Amino acid sequence: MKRRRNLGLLAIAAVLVSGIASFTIDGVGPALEGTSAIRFQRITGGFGIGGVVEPSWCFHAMDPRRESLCPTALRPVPGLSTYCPLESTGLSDHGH
Amino acid sequence: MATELRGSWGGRARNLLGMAVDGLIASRWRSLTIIASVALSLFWVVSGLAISQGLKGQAQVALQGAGDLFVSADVFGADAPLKGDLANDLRRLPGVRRVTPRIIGRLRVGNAWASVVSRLVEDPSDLASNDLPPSGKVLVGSALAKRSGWKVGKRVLLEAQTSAVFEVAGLFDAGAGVGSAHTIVMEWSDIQRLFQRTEFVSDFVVDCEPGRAARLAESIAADRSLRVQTKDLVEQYLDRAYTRRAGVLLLVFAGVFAIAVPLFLLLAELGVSPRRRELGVLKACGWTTGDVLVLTLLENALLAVLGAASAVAVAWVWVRVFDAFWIRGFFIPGSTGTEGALTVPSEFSGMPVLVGGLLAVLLTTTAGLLSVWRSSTVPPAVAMQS
Repeated sequence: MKRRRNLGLLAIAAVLVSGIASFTIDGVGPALEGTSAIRFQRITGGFGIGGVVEPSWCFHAMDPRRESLCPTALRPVPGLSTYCPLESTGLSDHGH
Repeated sequence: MATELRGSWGGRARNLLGMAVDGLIASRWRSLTIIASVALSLFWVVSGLAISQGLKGQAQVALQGAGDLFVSADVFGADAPLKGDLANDLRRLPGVRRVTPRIIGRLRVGNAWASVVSRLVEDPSDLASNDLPPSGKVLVGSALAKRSGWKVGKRVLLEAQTSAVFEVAGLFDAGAGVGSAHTIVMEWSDIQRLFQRTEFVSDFVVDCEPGRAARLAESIAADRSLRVQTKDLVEQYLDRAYTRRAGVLLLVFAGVFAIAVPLFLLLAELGVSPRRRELGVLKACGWTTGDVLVLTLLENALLAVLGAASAVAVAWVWVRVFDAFWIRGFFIPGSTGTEGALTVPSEFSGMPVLVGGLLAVLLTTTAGLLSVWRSSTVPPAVAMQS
């Protein structure tokens, strides 16, 4: 019984360690601090703060500094004039 | 199973913990099923929150590397290009260190859209002067290069108002950020020629002397035909936007939670029913209802912690090792098919882990509470008969 309990405790510890390791290892050096990200920002003067890869719909979701208003928004009426695939990115409705 | 619960508080807690572990081992398939269910229902929420945090962190890096003010024209309430010679007026304002005109356009490359960016570097102290490509050459985002089959040295045709052939001088690597993935950077006269606009620019990036940005923004915005965005304002967008995104994720999880609770309830009931007799023996040995309740809640809490730890570990492997395969397009629109060419930004520290843990505890204890209560309040005589 004691051996089974020890094995159980060992398994629990292993799962906990793997979970804790996931976020402690993560803190060592996030890739976003890398020089390539900083170099890109320096070259462009600051571009691309939204989580969107391409300006397929508008620039607003990619970078509100380039286009500060969502072109599909019907302010002050709530809603959008057309479907916008980038709406879920968050930046497309920052309320500015 | 030990039935003694006497002794100090520490000894009592140790006994209860040992018994809870024994209970989990005794019904190992049920335990494994619950841990797997918690991990599977939580891992994508943890992944989403981690990616959201990563994007926010990346955006903050982008903000730090940029100017203090962004000035564009305001035409009919929307942003519009402005005349390039306005830069000279801005340079004369007290507190302005540097004014950099930029053109940011977009064009079609095959089936994808690309941002085309250039900035006019007039100041030799500007660090970007060493990095910008010479005329006739371009720097390209890695995801766009992968999709289009472009490599360094390849000559590519770009079409906007005119068309021109450029040589790919370099690629931004996968870690350069989501914004770089489909971006083409070129020399100033090249972008003017490509878009056939020599008088107009998209915006001005203004670097200010320390502490002067807010006052300068007010002074520039006094001209109602200009729109000014400060670094602080953009930081506010980011904060609000990514908090909102995390909130939406948690709302979606609330729906999953509503479906998951009855399932966990069933699992908990299945696990407790066979143990009713055992719990009856414990109560006949002097255990109180509270003791039984604590024991079973401890078992559920252990399952929750193990489920949450598994969810974080699975999410980490999924996002970091498999590059958020299959779910990346959901969190980063347009990123499907860019595996290997775009590192999905993620941060697992802090909020994602905390939220994952809390949700797991909520899920297992809410679902288990009813069956635990029912089993712990059964009189010993009735329990022994079951």
